[in-house]
Amino acid sequence: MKPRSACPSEQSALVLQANMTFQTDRIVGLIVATLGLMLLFVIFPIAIEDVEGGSIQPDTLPNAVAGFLVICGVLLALKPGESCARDPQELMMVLLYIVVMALGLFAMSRFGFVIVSPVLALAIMLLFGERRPFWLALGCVGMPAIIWLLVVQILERPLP
Amino acid sequence: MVDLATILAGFSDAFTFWNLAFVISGVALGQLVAAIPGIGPVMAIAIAIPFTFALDPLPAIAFLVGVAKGGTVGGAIPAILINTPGTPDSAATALDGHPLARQGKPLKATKMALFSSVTGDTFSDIVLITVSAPLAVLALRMGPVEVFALMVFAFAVISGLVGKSLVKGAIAAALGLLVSTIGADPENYSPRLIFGNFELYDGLPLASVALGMLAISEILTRLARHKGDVDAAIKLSGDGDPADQRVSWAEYWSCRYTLLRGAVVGTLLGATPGIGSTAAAFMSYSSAKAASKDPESFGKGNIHGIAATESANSAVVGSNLIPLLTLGIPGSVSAALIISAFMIHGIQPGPLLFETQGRLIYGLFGAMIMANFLNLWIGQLGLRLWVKVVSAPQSFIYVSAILLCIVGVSISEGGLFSVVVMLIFAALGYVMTRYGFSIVIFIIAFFLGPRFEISLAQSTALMSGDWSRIVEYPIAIVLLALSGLTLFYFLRPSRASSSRRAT
Repeated sequence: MKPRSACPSEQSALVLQANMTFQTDRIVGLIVATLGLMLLFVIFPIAIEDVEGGSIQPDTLPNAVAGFLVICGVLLALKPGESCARDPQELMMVLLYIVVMALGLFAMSRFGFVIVSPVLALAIMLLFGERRPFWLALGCVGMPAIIWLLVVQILERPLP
Repeated sequence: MVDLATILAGFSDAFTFWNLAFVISGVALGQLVAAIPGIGPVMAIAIAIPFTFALDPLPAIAFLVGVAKGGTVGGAIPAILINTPGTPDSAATALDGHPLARQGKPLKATKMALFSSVTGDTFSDIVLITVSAPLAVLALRMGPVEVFALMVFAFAVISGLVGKSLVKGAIAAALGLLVSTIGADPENYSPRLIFGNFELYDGLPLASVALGMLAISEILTRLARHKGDVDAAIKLSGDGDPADQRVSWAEYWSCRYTLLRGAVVGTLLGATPGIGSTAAAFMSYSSAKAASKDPESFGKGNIHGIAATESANSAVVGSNLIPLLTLGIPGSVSAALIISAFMIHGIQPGPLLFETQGRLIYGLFGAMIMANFLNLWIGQLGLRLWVKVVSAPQSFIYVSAILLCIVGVSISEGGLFSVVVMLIFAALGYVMTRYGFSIVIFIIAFFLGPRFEISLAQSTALMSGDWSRIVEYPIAIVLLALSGLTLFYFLRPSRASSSRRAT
């Protein structure tokens, strides 16, 4: 089957998208190269100690890898490939879920898994769009209860 | 070489009721999770690893291998029924499986997938059992210099084959190596990049990195992409002619050459690090179509299409363990996760494994054979049940997976710090995937990092710091030359991106 040919407006949109992904790759390449340089000249000298003796130094492999990152970053910036840029709204939603999980972990460190996990599960399910009481109850009460039974009663391990 | 008594003892260890129960659980779980689009056996293995911590090594690893094997069968169910592959390697199965289901033969299609999967898997297991011990003996003759060169070669192959860009693959491998250097260095035990966090002195926890990048980042992506309806939709229909709901012996036998070809393709590609089951399935499908007298019928519900893809993608599971057990190099993420399970149980994978843990390895082989038969049995019994269970809404499935990941990492690593590390790596995994960097390469490099550094240190010591003496090691020279050729091949401008494999 022949692929459907794109109309002029679609073609220009595709060209624009291709240019954007090329630009994205160039920027990502520069970021990777900068990261490599930062590691080489700023972070490694602070965070890796020199030692005497040994066939290689503690910073030998990290330095080699950072140098390699600089080369690859420059190569990517010079010769960008295919990219898979996504919807910015998706990025915002991922950030939101990460924040919710981070808050959940913080609360867990204070109040424990048994108290916090139903609240965390409820928050995630509501954010996802689940509104049916049966599934909300199963996710918020049923699943934490099953985990408690499995971990505390069967495996005899403590929950966080 | 392993003696006969060890081999027999290993097999007898495997065939106990306790192990059987774990293999049954693993296969059933693998089939179930692979049938749920978005979860898949890799995520299930990652989540299950911490829970196997309390078990003995054999039932623990047999359970995980059961999950991997069950996953090869389960992934075909949604591919055939709703044209949505449960796992990427089932995408090729949908080409003929879904048209057959739409013709009112969904059970014929799923059963053919099941039989083909078990055939391919059994073939590759036989190859694994027969060739891995002799290969390990050969691998033992390799010194640190050769091991170092072999790992460079593995990185070159994996970077080229996995993902869409060699440069991005190389960056992902470098990042994985870099992250593996956090903690005490293996030569001098001097702390590196820990910034005062002494929890990091032993390095980043394997379970946190694996679960964060494989499970949580994927769940976050799916949660964020979700729009609209919260229901899953898998329906099994077609209770018409009984002949349309089963696979006859004549139909199975007519596919024997297709099955054999698929099994050989899957075994060969599975034994090569980085290629993966998706490429094997599509390659087998193409070769079956090319060899067919009726190629026009492919894509319209030809059972040879299902036989070709399922025998190939399942054959990858067994042969993936060849480089892992003989060289300690994981060929795929599943294999890398199984390595982490070995390490959690204090077992170092590699050529010495057959000498030091021969009984365990042959116990594992016994469990794999058992898993193949159970795959067939559970697949026959469980098909309708999986369809019912996987109709649970995604909201419940994802939230359950998140809670299991939090608890799993916490109990395996002991504390919430490792869960925070998991969340950080989930974010990194999302960013890497978003910008086209393979997390598969990252994780394999992360697993290989410490061994790579040790072999670098030992090689440098052996050559007294003079790397020009590498000419005294011809095998290493050949491997490094092959690495260079591999990089040259993948960097050629004529190599279109379409020819790259996405694993």
